[in-house]
Amino acid sequence: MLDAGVSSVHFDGFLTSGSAYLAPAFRFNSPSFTLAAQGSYIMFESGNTVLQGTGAGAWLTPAVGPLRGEIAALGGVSRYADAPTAGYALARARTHLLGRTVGAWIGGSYGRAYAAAVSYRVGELSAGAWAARRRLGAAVAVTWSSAADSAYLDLTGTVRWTPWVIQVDALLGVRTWSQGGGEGTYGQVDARIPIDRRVALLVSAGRTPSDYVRGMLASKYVTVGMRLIPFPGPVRPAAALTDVLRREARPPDVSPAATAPLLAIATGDGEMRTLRIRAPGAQTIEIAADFTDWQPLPLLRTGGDTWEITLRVPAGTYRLDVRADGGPWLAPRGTRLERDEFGGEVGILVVW
Amino acid sequence: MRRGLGLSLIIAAGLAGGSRAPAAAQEPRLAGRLPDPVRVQVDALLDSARAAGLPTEPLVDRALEGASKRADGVRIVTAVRRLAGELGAARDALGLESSPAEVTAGASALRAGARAGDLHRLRVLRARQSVTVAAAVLADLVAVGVPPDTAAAAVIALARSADDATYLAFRRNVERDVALGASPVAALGVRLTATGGATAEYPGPRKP
Repeated sequence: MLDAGVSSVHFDGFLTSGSAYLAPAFRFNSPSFTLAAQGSYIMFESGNTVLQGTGAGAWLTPAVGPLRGEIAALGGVSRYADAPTAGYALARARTHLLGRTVGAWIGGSYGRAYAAAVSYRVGELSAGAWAARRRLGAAVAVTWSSAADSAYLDLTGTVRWTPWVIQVDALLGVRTWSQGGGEGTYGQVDARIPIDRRVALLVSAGRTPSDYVRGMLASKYVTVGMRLIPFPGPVRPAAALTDVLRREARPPDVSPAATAPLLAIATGDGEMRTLRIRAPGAQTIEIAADFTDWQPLPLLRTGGDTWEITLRVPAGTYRLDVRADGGPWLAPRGTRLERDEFGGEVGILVVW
Repeated sequence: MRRGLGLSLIIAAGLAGGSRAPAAAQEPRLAGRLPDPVRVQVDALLDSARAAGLPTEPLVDRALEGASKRADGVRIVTAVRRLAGELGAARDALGLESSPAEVTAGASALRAGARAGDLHRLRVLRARQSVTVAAAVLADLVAVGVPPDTAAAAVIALARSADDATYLAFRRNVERDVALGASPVAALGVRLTATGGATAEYPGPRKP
């Protein structure tokens, strides 16, 4: 199918802008396997564009009593104007308790997200329940998400109402607890109004939270568009149910953060500087940098989780890595992380 | 532009002849750290860079970094050659009088996505002040998710009035806001206004 339309959108940090979009999508559903992919091309008033692609595949295991397992893989990539490309990949496992009109699920996902050269872990634990009766379906979910050292808890409720041939989906969410992920409420309402078998009118409005996995900012929007369905097929109740469940599978909002040791630098006499590194749980800390000729130097523990070394470091821009307990060389927090040319990472430090 | 092309040719010539004519001056810090064939090629690159008036310290550091990380010779030579090109482009943008620290920071900003024109504008606006910290902050802002053109506009907006401490405080505040969940562009706009940099160079929020 193909969606096309126009929007008025207000992204966090930008002025309100008009936009036009084109979004082809593909979906294959069978009783035990679902495959879906969607692309979108958005052009703003300024001429800047967003190009996105997402994909997901899920396999449902044979039923064991009322239980079915689900193994899924999700991924996406996006690029705005000439900003760095961002993307994510997640593997998910869930167990569903399936009744005729009610059900529940519990599961988790794990993967990595990246933006430019920064890559970080993302994970999610979620549980929820749904109920469906005639023209009404509803689901509630609680989702705990983590990304590097950020974590937060979302409560979401979704409702699908299908009066006559119209379909209305509504979502209300609240981020109730957060450590570095922001808090607040958000919500969306989408309506699909069929004009004939192959064409439908789409109307939607809402407020979305920041989605760093997809590289999208928080936004408020109103959209009007058309959906073209070149190959209309029979409506499958199971597919509609999957849709309701899928609403809670929105990838978690994350903010990139590192888990590497934290570096601070203090000015000493002249060009002598004291580098101070905080690394909880470590037994040894070493540093290798431009100003050590990339020879590893051990730091001295000064108490608790803190290590120090004093070196001659004239003003300038330097590359450095640290490692704990002889492990991999990492860019410490407090520096700008870059991928190096040698298959690893390096921190960039400016000394003035 | 002509300078950049000339530098490329010099470096290419150094590479081509490096393995046959090890007449290049030997950098003592590389002794024992690189296999001889790799060292010969790196020394040739250093000679070429020196002849072009570029700082060689960052090139030696990059070779040592590769050696420390046990990278193969091809990767090390490629990394040093790429950096030499970036240093040349940064020096062309910042001018012949730029210090090695400025050229190195400029090269880092170019790698992050800044344009040579941004560095040149920064140089013009900070003719009597160092651009080392400003260029580094530009690269840092891009690294936290600010689009390169927006980051450049913000750093240029502060160029006349901000000292190095102001630049670093600005960067630190943007990074903190982003870590707490703000979008990079929104954090940049808010902090830039608070720093007094919302001038014609950076007119505040714009359409996406």
